[in-house]
Amino acid sequence: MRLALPKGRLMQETAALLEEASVGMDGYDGRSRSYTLKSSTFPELSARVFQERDIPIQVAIGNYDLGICGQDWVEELMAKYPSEDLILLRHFGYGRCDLFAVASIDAGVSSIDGIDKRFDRVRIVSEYQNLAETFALKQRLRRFSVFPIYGGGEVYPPESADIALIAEPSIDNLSRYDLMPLAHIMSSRACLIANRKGLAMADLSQLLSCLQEVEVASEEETVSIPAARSRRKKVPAKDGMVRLAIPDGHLSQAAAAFLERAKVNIRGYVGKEATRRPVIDLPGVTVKVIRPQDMPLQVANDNFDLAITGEDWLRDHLCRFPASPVEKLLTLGFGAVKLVAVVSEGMAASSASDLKDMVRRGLLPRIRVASEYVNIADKYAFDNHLERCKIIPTWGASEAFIPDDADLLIENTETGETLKRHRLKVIDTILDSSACLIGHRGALAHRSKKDTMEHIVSMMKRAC
Amino acid sequence: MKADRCKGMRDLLPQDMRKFRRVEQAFLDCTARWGYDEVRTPTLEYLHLFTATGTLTSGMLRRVYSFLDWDGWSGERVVLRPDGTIPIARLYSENQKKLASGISRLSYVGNTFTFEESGKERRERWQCGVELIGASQPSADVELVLLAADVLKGLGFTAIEAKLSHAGLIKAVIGELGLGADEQTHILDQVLEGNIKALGEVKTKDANLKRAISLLLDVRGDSPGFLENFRALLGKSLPKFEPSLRDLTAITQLLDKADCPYHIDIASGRGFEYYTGVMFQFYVGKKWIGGGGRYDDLISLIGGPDVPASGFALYVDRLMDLLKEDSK
Repeated sequence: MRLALPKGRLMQETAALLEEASVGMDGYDGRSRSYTLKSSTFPELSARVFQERDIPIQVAIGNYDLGICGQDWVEELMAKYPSEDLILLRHFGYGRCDLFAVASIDAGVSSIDGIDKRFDRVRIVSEYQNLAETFALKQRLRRFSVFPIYGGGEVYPPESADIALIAEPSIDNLSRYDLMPLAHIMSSRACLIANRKGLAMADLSQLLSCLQEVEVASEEETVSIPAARSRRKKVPAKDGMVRLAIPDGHLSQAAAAFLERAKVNIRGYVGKEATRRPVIDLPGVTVKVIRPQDMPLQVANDNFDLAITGEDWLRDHLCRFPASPVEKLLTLGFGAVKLVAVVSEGMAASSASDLKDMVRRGLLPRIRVASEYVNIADKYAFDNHLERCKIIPTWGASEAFIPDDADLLIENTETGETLKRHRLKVIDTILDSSACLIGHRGALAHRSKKDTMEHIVSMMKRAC
Repeated sequence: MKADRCKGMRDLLPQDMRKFRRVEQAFLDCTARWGYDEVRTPTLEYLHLFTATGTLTSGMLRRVYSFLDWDGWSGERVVLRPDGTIPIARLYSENQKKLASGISRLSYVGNTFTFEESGKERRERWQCGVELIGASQPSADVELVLLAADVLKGLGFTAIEAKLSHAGLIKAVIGELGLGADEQTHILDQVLEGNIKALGEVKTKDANLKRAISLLLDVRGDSPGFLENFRALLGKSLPKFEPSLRDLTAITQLLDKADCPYHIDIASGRGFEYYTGVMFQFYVGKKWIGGGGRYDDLISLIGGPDVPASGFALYVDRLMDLLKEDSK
């Protein structure tokens, strides 16, 4: 029996659920760093911990018999890849969130109807790329672009997107971000999913009855979208403003320290008062805090002029879009990681060509490559002529994939400790990466932005 | 290591290619005789060409092969052509000045791509089609039915059948059901994807409408007289049906004059949302081998001039399956 369990927001309540169901999943409590777990109640049950959105994929392809994750990620997968092999067995009462299509209250849009008449091309951002595309097709938007993002969708409208598809625990949260709901896409709660073949072939009855017995308070709260109310009129952005993106997450502390050294004062970036729209004391510059993974694509689309991201994410973007107008302006030096290709310590391979040999000799049916860096992984496979290769996109915790669910991992490492702990060995170094400043070639040639941008670059250069 | 073919794709072996070329040549020879000039559109088109028209069903749009091009950072997708007519409408709209003035008669042979989950059905299909652009008269639709029959005769088929339906009639019925915009679209999509029963499942208190739907779904006829009966029964009480019935009657009268057999079967009306008028389905024996219809709004919807048009496509793979292995 194989069970996929979520990291992150659902972890605590899922641990409580498993305890109530007497599944005895030791070490699944957020304190343990192990991604591989055994059950004290069911000796034949093994569990792995994944990022939530990886779980429906893992169950659908049959790597796991059962999984617990948010229904939003199940629907996201099914929107693009309707699979008969994935079955939703039941909901649990926790992890409620609602998925909304939202616009800024400053955009002057009162409803979804006719939105495509207002914009030549409707720009949609979302972590839920497939649901966003389905939404656009269902609404019959005449021309639209969906920008996949890793998070922080609430900060994009109105300047960087016309619509965002975001998940929130309550519709009331939206007004905090100056957003208004245009449509309610779905309500999501934690749910139990199964692989159809797993259900048909493996005896999961004991575990299923434990999980089935957990009672759930029935709450069927419906969400209604309030009628259009008077909106603020759109305030046109001042021409020539330089738009700077700075990173959230693990890079933010180091980036804040760097910006302080560079004497670029930004209020509200880190600490208790942190916001996604901090204030910079440089005239002619606006700042937003977004995910570093999303920056190259956003800069390429002229939603930002400058951004502080990682060289790894810039490389991933350029692997996908070689002619992109994004370029590196400065290497900033902090946040250094190595991008490496790793395999299990137990695998008799010390290079990519050894892996190829294993396939040729029939020792591996195919090479499964797991990575957050999908485009770098794809190019690595091409460059190394890895035949019979399958790229598995992941959203973090990738170490858990090897050896059972992947053969090769393209992953970043700072000290190598995590790799050692998961018994992985490096067979190739792809890139030495650190934080960098990127810019849009067009913006650099923009007369009204050029001076401000050069000023920012020179301030940062002095701090490198 | 075994290298295998992509799911849903087909290899054409020498004996298959002989059949393929036979169908293609018969089609091109025949359409050329009728004054149609061959054109070809690219395999890749922008997705917005197909979303902009609002005329492919959302079910169909969800099954297109779409992806970001190497310079697709703007998020705009390209697709492997899922339909033959919309690209021709774009070609016409983009190259109108280079085409012959007045009526354009265009023919094409091309492949289309649609995802099908099991991989057992074909995901790449070849079709040969014609588009008659600039003519709004029933005689233009009749020309297409006669041309399709001529192509099929040229291939040696005798048991040829044309079934006629009318998009205007189906849309008028749906419009009278008092449904919301979303529901109307949903029902129309289902009907056009072949589930005509969806229309009968909608509940309505209007007795006339109930009768109209029942007649639409159940009754089939082979003459303009049938349509006259239909008009007599419904035309006065439901005047929105009248223009479509008049149009269909005119077409059938012309087909009678040309001694071309047909069946009026409103329930056969599967096709595309862009159809505005008559829809035809072609059969050889009991095998469906293609179809077409009138699409007067399509070209203007994609930003071209307001020009009426109609066309049809015959599916090469289906015709090949019907041909005997006898030609070299």
